[in-house]
Amino acid sequence: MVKKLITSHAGTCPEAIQQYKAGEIDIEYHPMGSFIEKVRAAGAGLGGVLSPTGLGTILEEGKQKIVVEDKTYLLETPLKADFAFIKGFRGDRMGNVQYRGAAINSNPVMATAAAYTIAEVNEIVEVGEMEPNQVGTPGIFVDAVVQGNSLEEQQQVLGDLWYKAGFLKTVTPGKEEV
Amino acid sequence: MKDKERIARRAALELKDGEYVNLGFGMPTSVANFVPKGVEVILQSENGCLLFGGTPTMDTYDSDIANAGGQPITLVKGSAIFDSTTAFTMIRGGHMDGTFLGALEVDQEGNIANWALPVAPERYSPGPGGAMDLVAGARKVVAMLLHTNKQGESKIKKHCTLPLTGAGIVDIIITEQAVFTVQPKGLVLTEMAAGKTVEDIRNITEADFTVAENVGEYRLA
Repeated sequence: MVKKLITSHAGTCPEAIQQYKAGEIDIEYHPMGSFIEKVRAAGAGLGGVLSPTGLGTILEEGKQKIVVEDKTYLLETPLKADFAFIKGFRGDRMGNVQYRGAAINSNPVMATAAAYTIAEVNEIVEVGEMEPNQVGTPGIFVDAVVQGNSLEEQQQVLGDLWYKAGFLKTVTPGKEEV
Repeated sequence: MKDKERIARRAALELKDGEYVNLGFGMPTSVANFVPKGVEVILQSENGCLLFGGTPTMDTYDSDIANAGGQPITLVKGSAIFDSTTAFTMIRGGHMDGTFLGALEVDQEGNIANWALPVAPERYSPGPGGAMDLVAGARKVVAMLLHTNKQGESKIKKHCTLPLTGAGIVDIIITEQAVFTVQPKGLVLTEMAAGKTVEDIRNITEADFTVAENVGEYRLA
Protein backbone atom coordinates (compact mmCIF):
# COMPACT_ATOMS: atom_id res chain seq x y z
CA MET A 1 0.00 0.00 0.00
CA VAL A 2 1.52 3.28 -1.12
CA LYS A 3 1.02 6.19 1.32
CA LYS A 4 2.90 8.90 -0.48
CA LEU A 5 4.49 9.45 -3.88
CA ILE A 6 7.45 11.83 -4.15
CA THR A 7 7.90 12.75 -7.79
CA SER A 8 8.15 15.57 -10.31
CA HIS A 9 5.26 14.53 -12.54
CA ALA A 10 2.40 12.08 -12.14
CA GLY A 11 0.60 12.79 -15.41
CA THR A 12 1.59 9.50 -17.01
CA CYS A 13 0.19 7.56 -14.03
CA PRO A 14 -3.61 8.11 -14.02
CA GLU A 15 -4.03 5.58 -11.19
CA ALA A 16 -1.89 7.73 -8.89
CA ILE A 17 -3.78 10.90 -9.80
CA GLN A 18 -7.08 9.12 -9.13
CA GLN A 19 -5.95 7.96 -5.68
CA TYR A 20 -4.49 11.40 -4.93
CA LYS A 21 -7.76 13.05 -5.94
CA ALA A 22 -9.68 10.67 -3.65
CA GLY A 23 -7.32 11.45 -0.75
CA GLU A 24 -6.01 7.87 -0.59
CA ILE A 25 -2.38 8.87 -1.18
CA ASP A 26 -0.32 12.04 -0.89
CA ILE A 27 1.85 13.37 -3.68
CA GLU A 28 4.86 15.59 -2.98
CA TYR A 29 6.06 17.36 -6.13
CA HIS A 30 9.55 18.67 -6.77
CA PRO A 31 10.87 20.17 -10.00
CA MET A 32 12.57 17.36 -11.95
CA GLY A 33 16.00 18.97 -11.81
CA SER A 34 15.69 19.58 -8.05
CA PHE A 35 14.33 16.07 -7.46
CA ILE A 36 17.30 14.48 -9.19
CA GLU A 37 19.75 16.69 -7.26
CA LYS A 38 18.08 15.76 -3.95
CA VAL A 39 18.61 12.10 -4.76
CA ARG A 40 22.16 12.75 -5.97
CA ALA A 41 22.94 14.62 -2.74
CA ALA A 42 21.71 11.67 -0.67
CA GLY A 43 23.79 9.21 -2.69
CA ALA A 44 26.88 11.41 -2.66
CA GLY A 45 26.87 12.20 1.06
CA LEU A 46 26.04 15.87 0.55
CA GLY A 47 23.89 17.89 2.94
CA GLY A 48 21.89 19.30 0.07
CA VAL A 49 22.09 21.36 -3.09
CA LEU A 50 21.25 25.01 -3.75
CA SER A 51 18.99 25.62 -6.74
CA PRO A 52 17.13 28.70 -7.99
CA THR A 53 14.42 26.50 -9.52
CA GLY A 54 10.97 26.99 -8.03
CA LEU A 55 11.58 30.44 -6.53
CA GLY A 56 8.36 32.42 -6.50
CA THR A 57 6.20 29.29 -6.77
CA ILE A 58 4.28 27.25 -4.20
CA LEU A 59 7.02 24.59 -4.38
CA GLU A 60 9.38 26.93 -2.50
CA GLU A 61 7.18 26.56 0.60
CA GLY A 62 9.01 24.88 3.45
CA LYS A 63 12.39 25.19 1.74
CA GLN A 64 15.11 27.29 3.30
CA LYS A 65 16.31 30.27 1.22
CA ILE A 66 20.03 30.92 1.09
CA VAL A 67 21.76 33.87 -0.59
CA VAL A 68 25.11 33.21 -2.26
CA GLU A 69 26.92 36.04 -4.06
CA ASP A 70 23.71 38.11 -4.12
CA LYS A 71 21.62 35.36 -5.71
CA THR A 72 18.82 33.57 -3.85
CA TYR A 73 18.60 29.79 -3.90
CA LEU A 74 16.42 27.14 -2.33
CA LEU A 75 18.09 24.51 -0.19
CA GLU A 76 17.19 21.12 -1.62
CA THR A 77 17.79 18.59 1.14
CA PRO A 78 18.94 14.99 0.49
CA LEU A 79 16.31 12.40 -0.46
CA LYS A 80 17.13 8.75 0.08
CA ALA A 81 15.14 5.52 -0.05
CA ASP A 82 15.12 2.03 1.40
CA PHE A 83 14.87 0.46 -2.03
CA ALA A 84 15.79 1.58 -5.54
CA PHE A 85 14.56 -0.27 -8.59
CA ILE A 86 16.63 0.58 -11.63
CA LYS A 87 16.53 -0.65 -15.21
CA GLY A 88 19.67 -1.42 -17.22
CA PHE A 89 20.66 -3.23 -20.41
CA ARG A 90 23.27 -5.69 -19.17
CA GLY A 91 24.37 -6.66 -15.66
CA ASP A 92 26.96 -8.98 -14.18
CA ARG A 93 27.63 -10.86 -10.95
CA MET A 94 29.61 -7.95 -9.52
CA GLY A 95 26.56 -5.75 -9.88
CA ASN A 96 27.98 -3.70 -12.72
CA VAL A 97 25.20 -2.30 -14.91
CA GLN A 98 25.40 -1.06 -18.48
CA TYR A 99 22.73 1.23 -19.91
CA ARG A 100 21.42 1.44 -23.44
CA GLY A 101 20.13 4.53 -25.23
CA ALA A 102 18.08 7.20 -23.52
CA ALA A 103 16.88 4.58 -21.04
CA ILE A 104 19.84 5.67 -18.89
CA ASN A 105 17.68 8.59 -17.65
CA SER A 106 17.78 8.92 -13.85
CA ASN A 107 18.87 5.31 -13.21
CA PRO A 108 22.55 6.02 -12.35
CA VAL A 109 21.52 8.56 -9.70
CA MET A 110 18.71 6.45 -8.24
CA ALA A 111 21.11 3.52 -7.87
CA THR A 112 23.27 5.52 -5.44
CA ALA A 113 20.65 6.68 -2.94
CA ALA A 114 18.97 3.56 -1.57
CA ALA A 115 19.86 1.11 1.17
CA TYR A 116 19.17 -1.73 -1.27
CA THR A 117 19.35 -1.31 -5.05
CA ILE A 118 17.84 -3.85 -7.45
CA ALA A 119 18.76 -3.69 -11.13
CA GLU A 120 16.49 -5.26 -13.74
CA VAL A 121 18.46 -5.96 -16.93
CA ASN A 122 17.78 -7.36 -20.39
CA GLU A 123 20.76 -9.67 -20.17
CA ILE A 124 23.01 -11.06 -17.44
CA VAL A 125 26.57 -11.46 -18.70
CA GLU A 126 29.79 -12.96 -17.32
CA VAL A 127 32.14 -10.71 -15.38
CA GLY A 128 34.54 -9.18 -17.90
CA GLU A 129 32.15 -9.16 -20.85
CA MET A 130 31.29 -5.54 -20.20
CA GLU A 131 34.07 -3.16 -21.22
CA PRO A 132 35.08 -1.09 -18.16
CA ASN A 133 33.95 2.14 -19.78
CA GLN A 134 30.58 0.62 -20.65
CA VAL A 135 29.79 0.32 -16.95
CA GLY A 136 27.19 3.01 -16.24
CA THR A 137 26.62 2.04 -12.62
CA PRO A 138 29.53 0.33 -10.84
CA GLY A 139 28.61 -2.73 -8.78
CA ILE A 140 29.34 -0.98 -5.48
CA PHE A 141 25.91 0.66 -5.74
CA VAL A 142 23.99 -2.50 -6.70
CA ASP A 143 22.75 -5.22 -4.34
CA ALA A 144 20.82 -7.48 -6.72
CA VAL A 145 20.61 -8.03 -10.47
CA VAL A 146 17.41 -9.51 -11.90
CA GLN A 147 16.85 -10.89 -15.38
CA GLY A 148 13.89 -9.05 -16.91
CA ASN A 149 12.60 -9.04 -20.47
CA SER A 150 15.23 -9.72 -23.12
CA LEU A 151 15.89 -6.82 -25.46
CA GLU A 152 13.75 -8.55 -28.12
CA GLU A 153 10.84 -8.98 -25.67
CA GLN A 154 11.19 -5.39 -24.48
CA GLN A 155 11.20 -4.20 -28.10
CA GLN A 156 7.91 -6.09 -28.65
CA VAL A 157 6.27 -4.81 -25.44
CA LEU A 158 7.16 -1.15 -26.07
CA GLY A 159 6.27 -1.45 -29.76
CA ASP A 160 2.78 -2.69 -28.88
CA LEU A 161 2.36 0.00 -26.23
CA TRP A 162 3.53 2.82 -28.52
CA TYR A 163 1.49 1.52 -31.44
CA LYS A 164 -1.71 1.41 -29.35
CA ALA A 165 -1.01 4.88 -27.95
CA GLY A 166 -0.58 6.24 -31.48
CA PHE A 167 3.01 7.31 -30.75
CA LEU A 168 4.51 5.68 -33.86
CA LYS A 169 4.35 7.26 -37.30
CA THR A 170 2.20 5.29 -39.72
CA VAL A 171 3.25 5.03 -43.35
CA THR A 172 0.72 4.06 -46.01
CA PRO A 173 2.39 2.39 -49.03
CA GLY A 174 2.49 4.69 -52.05
CA LYS A 175 1.35 7.70 -50.03
CA GLU A 176 3.02 10.55 -48.25
CA GLU A 177 3.81 9.93 -44.61
CA VAL A 178 0.95 11.00 -42.37
CA MET B 1 -5.52 26.00 -40.42
CA LYS B 2 -6.22 24.91 -36.87
CA ASP B 3 -5.47 27.36 -34.05
CA LYS B 4 -2.81 25.14 -32.50
CA GLU B 5 -0.99 24.80 -35.82
CA ARG B 6 -1.02 28.60 -36.25
CA ILE B 7 0.57 28.97 -32.82
CA ALA B 8 3.21 26.32 -33.58
CA ARG B 9 4.02 27.92 -36.97
CA ARG B 10 4.36 31.37 -35.42
CA ALA B 11 6.44 30.04 -32.53
CA ALA B 12 8.83 28.35 -34.97
CA LEU B 13 9.74 31.81 -36.31
CA GLU B 14 11.35 32.52 -32.94
CA LEU B 15 13.99 29.85 -33.60
CA LYS B 16 17.43 31.09 -34.61
CA ASP B 17 20.01 29.06 -36.47
CA GLY B 18 22.27 27.06 -34.18
CA GLU B 19 20.17 27.42 -31.04
CA TYR B 20 19.88 24.73 -28.38
CA VAL B 21 16.20 24.46 -27.56
CA ASN B 22 13.89 22.38 -25.37
CA LEU B 23 10.31 21.97 -26.56
CA GLY B 24 7.68 21.16 -23.96
CA PHE B 25 4.83 18.70 -24.48
CA GLY B 26 1.70 19.31 -26.47
CA MET B 27 1.70 22.30 -28.80
CA PRO B 28 5.43 23.06 -28.41
CA THR B 29 6.40 19.56 -29.64
CA SER B 30 4.86 20.36 -33.02
CA VAL B 31 7.05 23.47 -33.41
CA ALA B 32 9.70 21.02 -34.69
CA ASN B 33 7.54 20.43 -37.78
CA PHE B 34 7.70 24.10 -38.82
CA VAL B 35 11.36 25.05 -38.38
CA PRO B 36 12.02 27.70 -41.09
CA LYS B 37 14.21 26.80 -44.07
CA GLY B 38 17.86 27.60 -43.48
CA VAL B 39 17.48 27.35 -39.70
CA GLU B 40 18.92 24.38 -37.86
CA VAL B 41 18.23 23.99 -34.17
CA ILE B 42 19.47 21.37 -31.76
CA LEU B 43 16.63 19.97 -29.70
CA GLN B 44 17.14 18.73 -26.16
CA SER B 45 15.00 16.29 -24.22
CA GLU B 46 15.40 16.56 -20.44
CA ASN B 47 15.57 12.81 -19.84
CA GLY B 48 18.98 12.96 -21.53
CA CYS B 49 19.19 13.50 -25.28
CA LEU B 50 20.65 16.33 -27.33
CA LEU B 51 19.86 16.43 -31.07
CA PHE B 52 17.25 13.99 -32.21
CA GLY B 53 15.09 13.32 -35.25
CA GLY B 54 11.40 12.74 -35.83
CA THR B 55 8.98 10.06 -34.73
CA PRO B 56 9.96 6.53 -35.82
CA THR B 57 7.68 4.01 -37.53
CA MET B 58 6.78 0.48 -36.42
CA ASP B 59 9.82 -0.65 -38.45
CA THR B 60 12.36 1.83 -37.14
CA TYR B 61 11.59 2.43 -33.44
CA ASP B 62 14.04 1.46 -30.69
CA SER B 63 12.48 0.68 -27.30
CA ASP B 64 15.37 2.41 -25.49
CA ILE B 65 15.12 5.68 -27.44
CA ALA B 66 12.37 7.92 -26.09
CA ASN B 67 11.84 11.52 -24.99
CA ALA B 68 11.01 12.80 -21.51
CA GLY B 69 7.34 12.04 -22.07
CA GLY B 70 8.10 8.40 -22.81
CA GLN B 71 7.35 8.78 -26.51
CA PRO B 72 9.62 7.27 -29.17
CA ILE B 73 12.15 9.49 -30.96
CA THR B 74 15.02 8.74 -33.34
CA LEU B 75 18.72 9.38 -33.02
CA VAL B 76 20.54 11.12 -35.88
CA LYS B 77 24.17 11.88 -36.76
CA GLY B 78 25.55 14.01 -33.93
CA SER B 79 23.02 12.90 -31.29
CA ALA B 80 24.31 12.70 -27.73
CA ILE B 81 22.87 10.72 -24.83
CA PHE B 82 23.52 11.35 -21.14
CA ASP B 83 21.82 10.97 -17.79
CA SER B 84 19.33 13.32 -16.10
CA THR B 85 21.90 15.19 -13.99
CA THR B 86 23.73 16.26 -17.15
CA ALA B 87 20.43 17.13 -18.83
CA PHE B 88 19.52 19.47 -15.97
CA THR B 89 23.05 20.85 -15.81
CA MET B 90 22.44 22.07 -19.37
CA ILE B 91 19.04 23.47 -18.41
CA ARG B 92 19.72 25.11 -15.04
CA GLY B 93 23.29 26.08 -15.88
CA GLY B 94 22.20 28.59 -18.52
CA HIS B 95 23.39 26.52 -21.49
CA MET B 96 20.02 26.34 -23.26
CA ASP B 97 19.13 29.19 -25.61
CA GLY B 98 15.41 28.73 -25.33
CA THR B 99 12.43 26.81 -24.12
CA PHE B 100 8.95 26.70 -25.63
CA LEU B 101 6.23 25.78 -23.17
CA GLY B 102 2.51 25.29 -23.35
CA ALA B 103 0.71 27.40 -20.74
CA LEU B 104 -2.57 27.24 -18.86
CA GLU B 105 -2.31 30.95 -18.02
CA VAL B 106 0.18 33.78 -18.42
CA ASP B 107 -0.02 37.29 -17.01
CA GLN B 108 1.13 40.86 -17.52
CA GLU B 109 4.07 40.42 -15.17
CA GLY B 110 5.58 37.63 -17.24
CA ASN B 111 4.37 34.89 -14.92
CA ILE B 112 3.43 31.51 -16.35
CA ALA B 113 1.26 28.73 -14.90
CA ASN B 114 1.46 25.37 -16.65
CA TRP B 115 1.89 22.54 -14.15
CA ALA B 116 -0.95 22.51 -11.67
CA LEU B 117 -4.64 21.96 -12.26
CA PRO B 118 -6.60 21.52 -9.05
CA VAL B 119 -8.00 17.98 -8.63
CA ALA B 120 -9.10 18.58 -5.01
CA PRO B 121 -8.50 21.41 -2.48
CA GLU B 122 -4.72 22.04 -2.26
CA ARG B 123 -4.11 19.06 -4.56
CA TYR B 124 -2.78 19.54 -8.07
CA SER B 125 -2.02 17.52 -11.17
CA PRO B 126 0.10 16.63 -13.09
CA GLY B 127 3.27 18.16 -11.52
CA PRO B 128 6.05 20.37 -12.89
CA GLY B 129 8.32 17.80 -14.54
CA GLY B 130 11.23 19.81 -15.94
CA ALA B 131 9.24 22.97 -16.66
CA MET B 132 10.29 24.91 -13.54
CA ASP B 133 13.96 24.20 -14.23
CA LEU B 134 13.53 25.20 -17.88
CA VAL B 135 11.97 28.57 -17.09
CA ALA B 136 14.60 29.21 -14.40
CA GLY B 137 17.52 28.41 -16.69
CA ALA B 138 16.76 28.99 -20.36
CA ARG B 139 17.77 32.34 -21.85
CA LYS B 140 14.47 32.80 -23.70
CA VAL B 141 11.07 31.53 -22.55
CA VAL B 142 8.31 31.32 -25.16
CA ALA B 143 4.79 30.69 -23.80
CA MET B 144 2.27 29.17 -26.22
CA LEU B 145 -1.45 29.01 -25.50
CA LEU B 146 -4.92 29.58 -26.91
CA HIS B 147 -5.99 33.16 -26.23
CA THR B 148 -9.21 32.19 -24.42
CA ASN B 149 -10.62 29.13 -22.69
CA LYS B 150 -13.72 27.21 -23.81
CA GLN B 151 -15.94 29.72 -21.97
CA GLY B 152 -14.31 32.53 -23.93
CA GLU B 153 -12.42 33.90 -20.90
CA SER B 154 -8.96 35.36 -21.43
CA LYS B 155 -5.98 33.18 -20.52
CA ILE B 156 -3.76 36.28 -20.69
CA LYS B 157 -4.46 37.49 -17.15
CA LYS B 158 -3.67 40.50 -15.01
CA HIS B 159 -2.52 37.94 -12.43
CA CYS B 160 -2.34 34.18 -12.90
CA THR B 161 -4.90 32.36 -10.76
CA LEU B 162 -3.24 28.94 -10.95
CA PRO B 163 0.03 28.03 -9.17
CA LEU B 164 3.02 29.49 -11.03
CA THR B 165 5.69 27.60 -12.89
CA GLY B 166 7.94 30.64 -12.80
CA ALA B 167 7.65 34.29 -11.77
CA GLY B 168 8.48 37.08 -14.21
CA ILE B 169 10.37 34.89 -16.64
CA VAL B 170 8.29 34.80 -19.84
CA ASP B 171 9.83 36.68 -22.78
CA ILE B 172 7.20 36.21 -25.47
CA ILE B 173 3.55 35.10 -25.50
CA ILE B 174 2.10 33.55 -28.65
CA THR B 175 -1.61 32.82 -29.06
CA GLU B 176 -3.61 32.14 -32.22
CA GLN B 177 -4.73 35.80 -32.18
CA ALA B 178 -1.73 37.80 -31.09
CA VAL B 179 1.91 38.01 -30.11
CA PHE B 180 3.06 39.94 -27.04
CA THR B 181 6.55 40.58 -25.76
CA VAL B 182 7.11 40.98 -22.04
CA GLN B 183 8.96 44.21 -21.29
CA PRO B 184 9.84 45.88 -17.97
CA LYS B 185 6.86 48.22 -18.57
CA GLY B 186 4.51 45.27 -19.16
CA LEU B 187 3.06 43.45 -22.16
CA VAL B 188 3.56 44.91 -25.60
CA LEU B 189 1.35 43.80 -28.50
CA THR B 190 3.57 43.23 -31.54
CA GLU B 191 1.38 41.20 -33.91
CA MET B 192 -2.35 40.65 -34.48
CA ALA B 193 -4.17 38.07 -36.60
CA ALA B 194 -5.18 39.31 -40.05
CA GLY B 195 -8.32 41.46 -39.94
CA LYS B 196 -8.16 42.07 -36.18
CA THR B 197 -7.96 45.47 -34.56
CA VAL B 198 -6.32 46.49 -31.28
CA GLU B 199 -9.85 46.83 -29.92
CA ASP B 200 -10.60 43.20 -30.86
CA ILE B 201 -7.50 42.05 -28.98
CA ARG B 202 -8.39 44.18 -25.94
CA ASN B 203 -11.84 42.57 -25.87
CA ILE B 204 -10.38 39.08 -25.45
CA THR B 205 -7.42 40.03 -23.23
CA GLU B 206 -7.74 40.55 -19.47
CA ALA B 207 -4.16 41.77 -19.08
CA ASP B 208 -3.18 45.38 -19.64
CA PHE B 209 -0.91 45.90 -22.62
CA THR B 210 0.52 48.64 -24.79
CA VAL B 211 0.80 48.50 -28.56
CA ALA B 212 4.17 48.44 -30.30
CA GLU B 213 4.80 51.34 -32.69
CA ASN B 214 5.49 48.88 -35.47
CA VAL B 215 2.66 46.47 -34.58
CA GLY B 216 2.13 44.18 -37.56
CA GLU B 217 0.15 41.31 -38.95
CA TYR B 218 0.52 37.89 -37.34
CA ARG B 219 3.24 36.03 -39.25
CA LEU B 220 2.99 32.40 -40.25
CA ALA B 221 6.19 32.26 -42.28
